[in-house]
Amino acid sequence: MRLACLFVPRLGLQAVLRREPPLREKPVAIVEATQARKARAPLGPCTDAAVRAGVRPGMTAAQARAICPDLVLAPTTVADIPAAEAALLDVSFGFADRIEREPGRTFFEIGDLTHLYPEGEGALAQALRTRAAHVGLDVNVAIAGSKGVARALSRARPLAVVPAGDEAKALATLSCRVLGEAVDANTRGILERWGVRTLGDLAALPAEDVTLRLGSAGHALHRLARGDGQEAFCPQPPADAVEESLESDYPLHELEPLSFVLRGLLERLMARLACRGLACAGITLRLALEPRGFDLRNVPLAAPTRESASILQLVRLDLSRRPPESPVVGMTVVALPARVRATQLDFLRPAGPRPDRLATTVARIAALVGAENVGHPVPTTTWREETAGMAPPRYESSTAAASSAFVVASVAPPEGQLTIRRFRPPQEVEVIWDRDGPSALRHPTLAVRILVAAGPYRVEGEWWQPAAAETPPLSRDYWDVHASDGAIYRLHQERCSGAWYLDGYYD
Amino acid sequence: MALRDAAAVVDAELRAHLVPASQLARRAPPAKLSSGSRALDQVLRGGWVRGGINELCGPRSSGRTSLLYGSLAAAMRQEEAVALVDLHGALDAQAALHLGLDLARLLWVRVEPDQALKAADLLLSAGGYGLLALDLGTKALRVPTAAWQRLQRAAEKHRTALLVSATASAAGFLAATSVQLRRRQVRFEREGGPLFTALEVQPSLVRQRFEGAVGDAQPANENGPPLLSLVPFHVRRLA
Repeated sequence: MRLACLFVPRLGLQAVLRREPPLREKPVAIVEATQARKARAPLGPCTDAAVRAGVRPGMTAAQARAICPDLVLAPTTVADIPAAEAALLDVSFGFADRIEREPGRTFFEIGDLTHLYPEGEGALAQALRTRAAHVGLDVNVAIAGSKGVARALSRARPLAVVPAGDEAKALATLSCRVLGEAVDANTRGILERWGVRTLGDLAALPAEDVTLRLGSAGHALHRLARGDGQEAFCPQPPADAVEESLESDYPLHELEPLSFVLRGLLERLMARLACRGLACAGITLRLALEPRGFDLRNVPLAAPTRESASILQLVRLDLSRRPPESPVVGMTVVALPARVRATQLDFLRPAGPRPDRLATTVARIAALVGAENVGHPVPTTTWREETAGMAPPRYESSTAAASSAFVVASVAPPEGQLTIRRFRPPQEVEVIWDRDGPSALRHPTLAVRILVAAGPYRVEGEWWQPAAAETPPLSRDYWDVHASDGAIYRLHQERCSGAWYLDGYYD
Repeated sequence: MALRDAAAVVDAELRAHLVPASQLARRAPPAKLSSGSRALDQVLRGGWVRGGINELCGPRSSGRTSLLYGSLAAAMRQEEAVALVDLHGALDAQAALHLGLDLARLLWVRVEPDQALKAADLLLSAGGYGLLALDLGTKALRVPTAAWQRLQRAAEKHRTALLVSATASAAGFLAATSVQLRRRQVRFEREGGPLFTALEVQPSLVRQRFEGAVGDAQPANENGPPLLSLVPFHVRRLA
């Protein structure tokens, strides 16, 4: 079995740099969020630029500033490290579906991945580093025959590929420090007293004597140093949702700064989903409010997508429709992963609008004109002609829609049909009546003589329904009239009230 | 002297790269989308221009809306995605069904005058539409040229035919095609009481950008502009 190990050195620092990419090239040192403003705050890991300037972990902020005035003190937040670890996990899931997790590290079996990388395991290791860089992580990659060997090598080198059987040779020059937390302080002290500095020194000792003096832990260490690790590979199932969190240093009151922060979160989420070959099918946004409380909202997506700009637009629209009740001090974005919808396009049919983009467009139009004004017209089952039915929009690809409606749509109706343009609601007009019928129309914007009047066409209905005070029973006389302005109007008279209404005109 | 020699050399080199207007290759004819009416297609010389603004102008009861819906139905039969931006929501769903519109595939946006162009712009920018109808009714909107220019570019980018229905030309020189409709005759059946039976309209091409300017006086074919006879949908149903 060949295992790959991905290790994120200086995880805390990388987690912060992932959140704030512009800081990568600057001298940066990590401080605890609670001590960020204190001069005596001890520094955590530092970037290479800070180390070059002479800053070392453990210095106080004041000391470091004296050496390097440009030093940026970046406070860590609770959400940074879990987000970075989750991103590392997503990179791993992009290559294998059985992953074992450790803090700041993942293992997976490379199996037949070498078929995808015929250049060898070196190319695979390089691809892993590149993929991790896409989610903002600089990882060490080690490929070896056992977990222990891969773990030790990943702490020591950025890229290590150990051929089967060469484990002992590869480990021989490594310092015993690479064993890290696998060796307790007591054992480390004993090894130092023995003069054992490297794993090669340890491997050269007689196995029985090491076991006699250090017990079972010493036996395991000795076997590891000889490249003979026996740790079992225990993969865990992937998480259902992918999430990114962020805590703000100060409360966010307005939509613009909030969406600026959300943009970064969404871009990171989409990069992680892309690593796993997945897309986002829905967003759950959890906003931590000041001084307490949460605002939880779901933003459904019409189709799985990885376009962070489209998702951000939908989130912005949702936030502008229903703003948070108080300032936001933290946020968590949870993306529901889904397989990317594959659409088989047709050579002979037009592709139509992309469902995900159409969903965004419809949401934007709905924000402009109101959701009740966007959709598909639906014929109503009432005799009240002015009623307009509207169904919610559909987002399936036009090809799919076309194929379902092909038989109906391909039959052309006879040419030369005249439709009617409706006034909604019908406009009340004054009709002047002479002995032959209606002779003139008067309206604030219309005053015409009637040249020809065809009617009345009586419509009576809804008599089966209980009478309501606000809607009189349907009893109308319809007329088609040719007016002196040349137009052909359709109007009706309510028989109950005698009022005349202009329904529209033939056009 | 040296400067003059250098200028002559540059001039000669430039001349080698210049093509006189008389030798310019003819622009490829634009793709067209049928209007669903043979007579109107004849006037339009094929149909509405894809990737441009097309105008259908006429007063009330000039058949403008019927031809607009007919064009949408024809585009649907060609399996194009279509949308209608409808000022004040004048669409009659029952009548539209009789004109052949598949309502489930029509995206209908009811707008107020100040929202019409913005909605059209959003739909055009989404891409993928074969025909986008912008029905301005009888409202004369004051729209800056820049807004039409923006719509024209979006239509061109996504190869969408933008069909604007208005009482008078709105896009002006930016329109690829402009058709003016005139009412010629309104027919009422007199027997057994008057019954509105037909409206005859005459379309004429007043502008066609890519195939030379066309004047009103210039007939679209040798027999003169054709007449379109439009029958109210409920009358045809009775027949």
